[in-house]
Amino acid sequence: MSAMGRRSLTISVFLVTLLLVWLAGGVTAAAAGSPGADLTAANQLVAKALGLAQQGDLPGAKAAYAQFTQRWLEIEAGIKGQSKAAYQAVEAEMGNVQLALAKTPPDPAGLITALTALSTVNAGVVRGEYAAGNDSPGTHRSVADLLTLLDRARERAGAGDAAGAAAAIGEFRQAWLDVEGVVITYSGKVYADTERDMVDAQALLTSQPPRLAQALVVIDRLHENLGPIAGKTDYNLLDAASILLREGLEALLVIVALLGFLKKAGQAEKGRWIWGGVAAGLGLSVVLAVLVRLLFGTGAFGDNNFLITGAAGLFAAVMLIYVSYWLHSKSSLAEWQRYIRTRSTAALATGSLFSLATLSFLAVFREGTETVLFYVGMASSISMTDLLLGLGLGLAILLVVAFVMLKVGRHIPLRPFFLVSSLLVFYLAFKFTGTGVHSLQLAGVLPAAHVSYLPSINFLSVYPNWQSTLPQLALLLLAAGAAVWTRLRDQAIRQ
Amino acid sequence: MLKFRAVQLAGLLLLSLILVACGSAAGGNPAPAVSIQAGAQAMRQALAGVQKAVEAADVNQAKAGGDALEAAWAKFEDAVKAKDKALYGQIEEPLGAIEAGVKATPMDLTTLAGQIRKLDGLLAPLAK
Repeated sequence: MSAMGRRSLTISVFLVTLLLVWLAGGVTAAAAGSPGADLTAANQLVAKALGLAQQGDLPGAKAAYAQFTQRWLEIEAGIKGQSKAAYQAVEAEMGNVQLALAKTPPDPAGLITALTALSTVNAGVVRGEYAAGNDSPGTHRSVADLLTLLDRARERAGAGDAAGAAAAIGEFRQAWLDVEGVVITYSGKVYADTERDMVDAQALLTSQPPRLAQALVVIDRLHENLGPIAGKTDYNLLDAASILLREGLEALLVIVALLGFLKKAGQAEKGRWIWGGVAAGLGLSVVLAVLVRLLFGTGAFGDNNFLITGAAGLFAAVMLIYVSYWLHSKSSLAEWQRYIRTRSTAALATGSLFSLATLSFLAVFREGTETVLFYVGMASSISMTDLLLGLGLGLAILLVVAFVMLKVGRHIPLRPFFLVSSLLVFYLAFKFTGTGVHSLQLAGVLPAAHVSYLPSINFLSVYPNWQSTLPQLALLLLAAGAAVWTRLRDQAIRQ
Repeated sequence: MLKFRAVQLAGLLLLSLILVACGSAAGGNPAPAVSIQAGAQAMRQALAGVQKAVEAADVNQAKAGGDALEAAWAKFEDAVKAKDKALYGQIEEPLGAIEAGVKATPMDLTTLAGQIRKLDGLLAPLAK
């Protein structure tokens, strides 16, 4: 391997390590400190406060309880990380104790009741009674659960409480990963519309001042779209196939474009770099999905999944834009002539090949984890035969599409091939830019301001907010500029 | 294709930065959604709503106000805790009492009024 190749390899290894360290950080945070043991120790202070209150020593009880609240500040993050429901239950009981302590004249009976309830809840948390219905591993929300969250959002928005409604939509967004596999098998349109509406609803509710009437329309639309899916509890062969087809098609287009390019460059044997990237993307997706399933729970992973989709999507878009430009430049007269002259002797540098591998890796990894999680989620509601047959069917269709595209590509003359490929790759870059920004909005990293006059086009990933639309418009301008420049240069050569 | 390497390096750098930035956010300490000042101002506003509902003895409105108060606090509590843990604890005290108080039947209007005043007094300096 050349020095350039080694450097590229080092950087890529560093990147993957960084990714794993980042993810491992979440694991460590979840595992560190043993929240149960911490709460057991802290609960002794509640027991002490309760004992003193029962003896009539209210100042003593208050002091012991103050020690508990100090301790709670240290350990609450651990409890919250383990189970949000448990955290909320403890905080609610603490509120009752605070209320009893605040009463004038003092209310010993109320304080004893509140401290007893707090002690009971703490013990329940230690025993893991709050695992169900929260983000801990193994719990799985259904579409019906999400409809309940929408009901809450609608009720809050109807009462003029934008913050409460936004909180419910935030919870909806986090739980989305649990049900998107169900939704996608039901309807690709409902899936895409829901992802768009989630961001819109959040943007409308958090704008200043909140646009409650419009938000209610979006929430109602979400409810209407998801309502018919609530009863869907089992899957068939076609469902299993459709997930792979939908999630795999874009990755396949990238891979086929890259393979086609290598063939045209007379270096088809270098295809193993691209397949290497695909294998790495698949491998990391499976490993990550297993880790998520075992350690985080999909709810806790929801935002991180959007981050991966967003970051990988934008990175892939940047690389695709360059590929598109490069392919398009080869469709120009001057570049084509030069390319024809040199291509028989030029060998692709290892660095370039590594770029192709990275791009194919990103194309697969971008939605790979999500796809594996879909399948893991549906595994309990489908027969093993149907699951395997569905996977096989989806894979077979993708392979046929790839085969046909490569076959057809081989018979297209060089210049049109580069032109068509550049357009295809540009379309993917355009789409990845839209979905990348949108995913980062779903993750809460980027803001989203709903703009009612902007269009919403699913197959182009155009969303009604400037944050995702402006980069796409800039891309279009860039492409138009490049096309005009190439044309002018060709005209100059002809003259 | 040699220029690919430059694009690759730029892309790697971009992705690394995004991942590092996101890593800190994903590690359990999400960045505050609003500044302490803006958060405190919004919370005081929500608190005024609770006070109004308590004064009118409007149980439903008071409950809704309690939820709004919690939602407003959630947006900047991490920032307050990081800056001043003692103050965070002080705020949580009356906040917890108010949230519990608006759900109690019947509402203890005197205690609630006292806790609302206490919480507002703690938030006022932050909102400036």
